[in-house]
Amino acid sequence: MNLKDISNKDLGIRRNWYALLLTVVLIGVFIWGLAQYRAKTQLNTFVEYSYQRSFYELIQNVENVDVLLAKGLVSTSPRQNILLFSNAWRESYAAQEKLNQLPVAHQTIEKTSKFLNQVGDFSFTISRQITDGQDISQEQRTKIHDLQKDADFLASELHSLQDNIRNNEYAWGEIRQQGSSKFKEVSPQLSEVGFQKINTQMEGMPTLIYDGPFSDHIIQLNPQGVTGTPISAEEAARIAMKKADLLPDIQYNYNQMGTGEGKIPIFRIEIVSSMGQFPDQIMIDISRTGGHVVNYMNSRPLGAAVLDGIQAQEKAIAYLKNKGFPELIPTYAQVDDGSATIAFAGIQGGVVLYPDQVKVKVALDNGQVIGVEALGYLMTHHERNLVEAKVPAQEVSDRVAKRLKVEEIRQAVIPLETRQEVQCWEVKGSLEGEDFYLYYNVLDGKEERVLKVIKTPQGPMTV
Amino acid sequence: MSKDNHQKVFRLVNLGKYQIIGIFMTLVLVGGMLVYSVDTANGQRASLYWGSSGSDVRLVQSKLSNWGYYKGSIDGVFGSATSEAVRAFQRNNGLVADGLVGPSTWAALGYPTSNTEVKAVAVSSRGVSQDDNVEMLARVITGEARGEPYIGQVAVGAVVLNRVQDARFPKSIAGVIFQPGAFTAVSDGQINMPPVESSRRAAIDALNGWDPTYGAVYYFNPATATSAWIWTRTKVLTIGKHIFAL
Repeated sequence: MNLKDISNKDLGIRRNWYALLLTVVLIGVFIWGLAQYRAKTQLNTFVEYSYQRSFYELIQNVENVDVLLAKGLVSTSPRQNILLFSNAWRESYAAQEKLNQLPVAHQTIEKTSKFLNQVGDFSFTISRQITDGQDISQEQRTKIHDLQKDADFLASELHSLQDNIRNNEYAWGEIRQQGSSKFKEVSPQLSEVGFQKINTQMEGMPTLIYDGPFSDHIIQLNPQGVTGTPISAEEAARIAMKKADLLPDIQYNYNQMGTGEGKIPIFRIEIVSSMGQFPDQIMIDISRTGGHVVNYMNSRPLGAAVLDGIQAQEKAIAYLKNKGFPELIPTYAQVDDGSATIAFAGIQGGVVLYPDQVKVKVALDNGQVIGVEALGYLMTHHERNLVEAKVPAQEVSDRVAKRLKVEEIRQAVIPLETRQEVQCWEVKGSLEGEDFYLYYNVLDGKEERVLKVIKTPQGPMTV
Repeated sequence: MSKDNHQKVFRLVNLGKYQIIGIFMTLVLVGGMLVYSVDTANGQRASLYWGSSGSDVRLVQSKLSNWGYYKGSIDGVFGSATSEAVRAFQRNNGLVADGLVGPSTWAALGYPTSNTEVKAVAVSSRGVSQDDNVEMLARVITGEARGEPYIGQVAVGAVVLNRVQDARFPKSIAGVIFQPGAFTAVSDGQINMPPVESSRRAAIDALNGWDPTYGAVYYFNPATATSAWIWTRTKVLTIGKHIFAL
């Protein structure tokens, strides 16, 4: 009797308790879900707006390029022209940046992206040319005119794309999601089609050749330092075994790893050993013409450092000498965890040839050379036609002394952004403990370049 | 009385079914949330060696099998074939080839065991330095090519830098890396994992000018590439699982 009472009561309380718990949990889950949904919607909206903003700004930038180029064609004042073309440069770079932020496949915008980059680059060249006191040539005028027409076309296409997107209530965020999903059968998206159309029309653009880093002729450069006759894969392997910095008394094996068809065609050879604490893992690229070392890399683990940067540099110099590399002088070094990278430059009659660069990486545990990068050297090296300096060193040095404490002066050939080369006086100076390199043209004393040495924990670096 | 009582006990159990299901579901929900949050915070992983067995071994085997190092069956037993595969993987990733899956090998496989890796890369930078670029490149390399031979890791870094120099692509390292859809590792969030040790070395080599790809701006895995367009590019060479193209 007593027992019955208790269990009846107990049952009631328990039933209520469970029901209450379940309700609380359900409400909790509901609120959680709602919060998640809200957060997702907010995030989608935010992303959507940032895409829209990029697109609107892209249109604005392209319109500005169009207008600025048109003004540049009619303006007769050099002062005004410098401003107009500098602005066109800035606007087209900004447009390119915005374009690349949009969620569309890269191949549908690559031509447009290249066009914007080249317009910017070209405008910069023009504005610098006017600063140097040169007028715009007739040929350049024709080019500016063509570019302005292209920019005009691009702006109007972007406008119609924008109208399409607006009329179809189309969201950028949707493209991104669908584009990345596995359902490739989804019909091509509106913007994708729009940009593809523009891209196709941009394809008809003639190659643009001028003095800028993105000019077409620079992309089509040929290696000047690759001399000699074609070699066989076997010869390449023999050369690789000879040029690699192998340790004595260790058995090495090599494998042919195939060929590469880049700027310099190569044979790739792998050299491995299974002996020692850290067995060598070497990959070495030998040019198919002349058998030059183009690229060399040993990816073995590095032990504790026992050498410093200066000792590493000596090891690198000895290696280049012993392995029969051409004459090179060290220019700067950078020390990273367990290794040092030393940059060398070519030298001709006491003049440093900075474009002809070879980098050598030395392991700080045993002084073994674990990397050589000679692509830069092989691309540019040739006999230079050096000139007698018309401006004496003293004059340049006096000029710099007004601002900096002059520490060293010597002649060097340096590359400009345009990859043209100029022969300069290189002046090393310091100001408040900071080192600078200044470059003055040996013919007219014009200041060509200023470099600042940034001292990082890993060693100096120039910017 | 006995019968009566029995009935009541039975009723209690009967009602309990739904309640138990409710409580069970709550537990699953809460448990799931817990597992989810623990998973994103990187759990600790034990070292594995010859004779180890279990799900961690299975994980290592399937990773190594995906990357072509391991040919055996994924049975969760660390035997000679697994040991050989681990050694080969270690050699290609600049690790000591001891056949042991310790913290550094776990990290190279993409499963950092502790926060030591994070500390190692968080170099304080003041003013102008290359540290940010090294870090960013190392993350892309980790996400895209941590199972590749060392030279393949340098190659991925070089492709990013080649794009910066190319008129068709954005003009900064960050611009190239975060271009929508440009890198799978960025789209799926793998870029957020701490960089493996070899990827930092590879990033520095790439920034110092080593380019094993000779100017390539594209790469793809022929086994998984879904776009027909990518095959139209001019092929330069193959490194590991990737084809590099212009």
